[in-house]
Amino acid sequence: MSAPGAATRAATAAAVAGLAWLTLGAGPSAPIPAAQSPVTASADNGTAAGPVRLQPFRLVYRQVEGTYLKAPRGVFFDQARGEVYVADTMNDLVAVYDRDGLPLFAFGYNGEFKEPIKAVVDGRGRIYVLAGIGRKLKVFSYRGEYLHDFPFHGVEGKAVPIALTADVEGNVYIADSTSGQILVYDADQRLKLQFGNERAGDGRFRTVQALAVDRKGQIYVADAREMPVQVFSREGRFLRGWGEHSLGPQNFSLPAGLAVDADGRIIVVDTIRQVVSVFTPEGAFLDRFGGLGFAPGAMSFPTDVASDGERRIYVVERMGSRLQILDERAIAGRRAPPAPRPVPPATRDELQRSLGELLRGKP
Amino acid sequence: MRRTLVMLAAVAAVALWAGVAAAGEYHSGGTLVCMDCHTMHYSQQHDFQGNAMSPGGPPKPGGAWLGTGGPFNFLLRAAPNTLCLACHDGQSFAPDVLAANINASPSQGRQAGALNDDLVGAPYDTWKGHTLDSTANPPGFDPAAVGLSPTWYNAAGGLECTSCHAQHGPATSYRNLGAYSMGGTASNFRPTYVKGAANDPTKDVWVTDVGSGTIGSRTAAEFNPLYDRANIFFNRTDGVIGASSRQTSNKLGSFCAACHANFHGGAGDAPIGATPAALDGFLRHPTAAVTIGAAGGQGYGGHSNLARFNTGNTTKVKVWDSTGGPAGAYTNPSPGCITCHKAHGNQNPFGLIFLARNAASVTDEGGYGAAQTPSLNQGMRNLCGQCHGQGSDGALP
Repeated sequence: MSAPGAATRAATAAAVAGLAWLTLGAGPSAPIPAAQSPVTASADNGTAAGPVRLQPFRLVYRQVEGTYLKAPRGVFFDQARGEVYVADTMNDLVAVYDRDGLPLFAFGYNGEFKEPIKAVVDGRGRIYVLAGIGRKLKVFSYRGEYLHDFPFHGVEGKAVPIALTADVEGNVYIADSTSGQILVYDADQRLKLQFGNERAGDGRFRTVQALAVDRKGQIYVADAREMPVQVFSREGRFLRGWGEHSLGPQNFSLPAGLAVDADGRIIVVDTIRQVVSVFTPEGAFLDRFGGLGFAPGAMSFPTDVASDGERRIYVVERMGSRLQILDERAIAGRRAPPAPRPVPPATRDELQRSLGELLRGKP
Repeated sequence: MRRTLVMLAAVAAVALWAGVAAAGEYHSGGTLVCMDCHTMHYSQQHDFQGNAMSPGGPPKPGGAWLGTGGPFNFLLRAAPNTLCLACHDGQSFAPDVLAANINASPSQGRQAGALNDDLVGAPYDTWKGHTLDSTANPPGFDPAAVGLSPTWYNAAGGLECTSCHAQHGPATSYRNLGAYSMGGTASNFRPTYVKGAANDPTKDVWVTDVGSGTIGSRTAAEFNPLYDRANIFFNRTDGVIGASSRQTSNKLGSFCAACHANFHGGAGDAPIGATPAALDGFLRHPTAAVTIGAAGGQGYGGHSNLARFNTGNTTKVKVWDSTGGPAGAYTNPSPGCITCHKAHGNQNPFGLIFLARNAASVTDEGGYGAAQTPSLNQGMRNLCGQCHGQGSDGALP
């Protein structure tokens, strides 16, 4: 086994040289046909300080038990079992892969749900599928057998789930559009916590797009209309947040997916900007990668991202119709980058202040 | 001179913000910002601040590092339909046009239909609704017959969302209907609307309950009143279609006629929205100049039954009426295209509504209500029976 980073570097060098890339199902250093390797990535020599780069590791193309991924919308990594769950809205299927991208099984063939948005696994191994049509949360056995609709115990009125995740302890986190709150259920489906829905300021949600939980139990919320990334304690107390709907690499157009990697870095996928952005746990912008396209590492309307809690991240693309598995070893195998310099946000307030100064005749 | 410059700057600033406010209700600056869809030089996708981004690296002459598909017309960052579907497919904050049309709950924000798409692989049969990227000429396409330029719609380019919707507004157009490519005649084909408790009978559409919501509202419950079919009614604003003598009872008929002027017939036949004289015998289903339940002067009356329409069905098709509905019984309802068809399609042939009888309650998809039973071969009868009586279904007018 090569040292961490070596395989990536070798693959990158090969790709730059117009040779082969990595194959599916074999070791990470095995080549695949050149036709699948239009990578033009700049080589990462693993020593130079500078922007953090996540290099493509291997690609999983269009395979859900004999059919193709058509419009994958959600991806989740079950750390207890090392499995990847992909919800495909156009196939009406949930496809399950091992961590290397080998298909294990899929379910939904009997019309159990329509347009699944996300599938996660709780502490008892049950699979929760958020169906886009009907906005129902359905519970399945570990074999994909339908058990029941999620009862939403403890919630007044009809809950309308719009985002979903689970933590390593098996708790399930649900964004409810009706209340505008985040609901946290334990593995016995008992409501443990609900928070959010502040009328103004921090902790206000309007359109929750994604949820993630780190190893400390801190909860991350991506919202398309309010502060794009908000972080809460495991008790639901607002801790911090960042970004806005504006220009600048630290900002967003449509944050759609959220993950936390092994080092606590926050990874956000932006569907409209076609990028994955990486932030420090405190919210300082580190880097972004992707760009519109179908080549390895490029993205075509990415919709979700997941981390295996180690060195891999998984990205699904709606128009790319694929799951990409990317390796972060390019980060681990290099010395620590210099402390990131926070990018000052160009807020509307600042623009208005500048305009006011202009009108007052200040230079 | 300095004062003049300051004044100009102030005017420009006001114009900037005013422009945002007037850019159309559905895609105003608060919901989308320009760079979400546009890139000035097909160059901003790599970083929005000029930095190169992996895996493309620094720009190369002739390189494809911005993406292999572009650049796109109108400075778009991607193909128009692709951009639209980024928000209008499966999101909770925007109407979903690529889903089964459940039309079930105003809390879901997903009742915009089930369009098909030729490029991504139509999720539904293409004959169940409009098909994005289809290069077929619209059935009944005869723009000159309604005073439109024959080239306003380019079928070879494929059907795009913007073929029907003016993505930037105007704010006075219901659902932003009326493509920009119609040019100066577009206003003839754009249905107007009013929102709130008070109707304006001069407008084509009345959205009765806007709740506390606006586009981008905080929760779906606040957002969806604008899209809940229970809150949307149509005034009978009898007029003509574009620059023609053909009649329409609501400008939504004009809008449809822009593509489907002769949808119900060919050259020489009585077209959609025909003159009353041509209605005699009904060569094709009328969408203007008729009143449900009326007879005599309007041909054979079509054995339609106003009483049946008003009382016989718990869930009614949408019709045009002078009062817009829904306070009481309709007095002079007239049918239109969307009385029977869903523009964005559903699971039924031709986007027809009420056909499937697979649920106890009537929805746009199907089902059966109090006046029908599941044991009979209802199907189409559920739809036609909304307005028409036959035998024991109801007394003839």
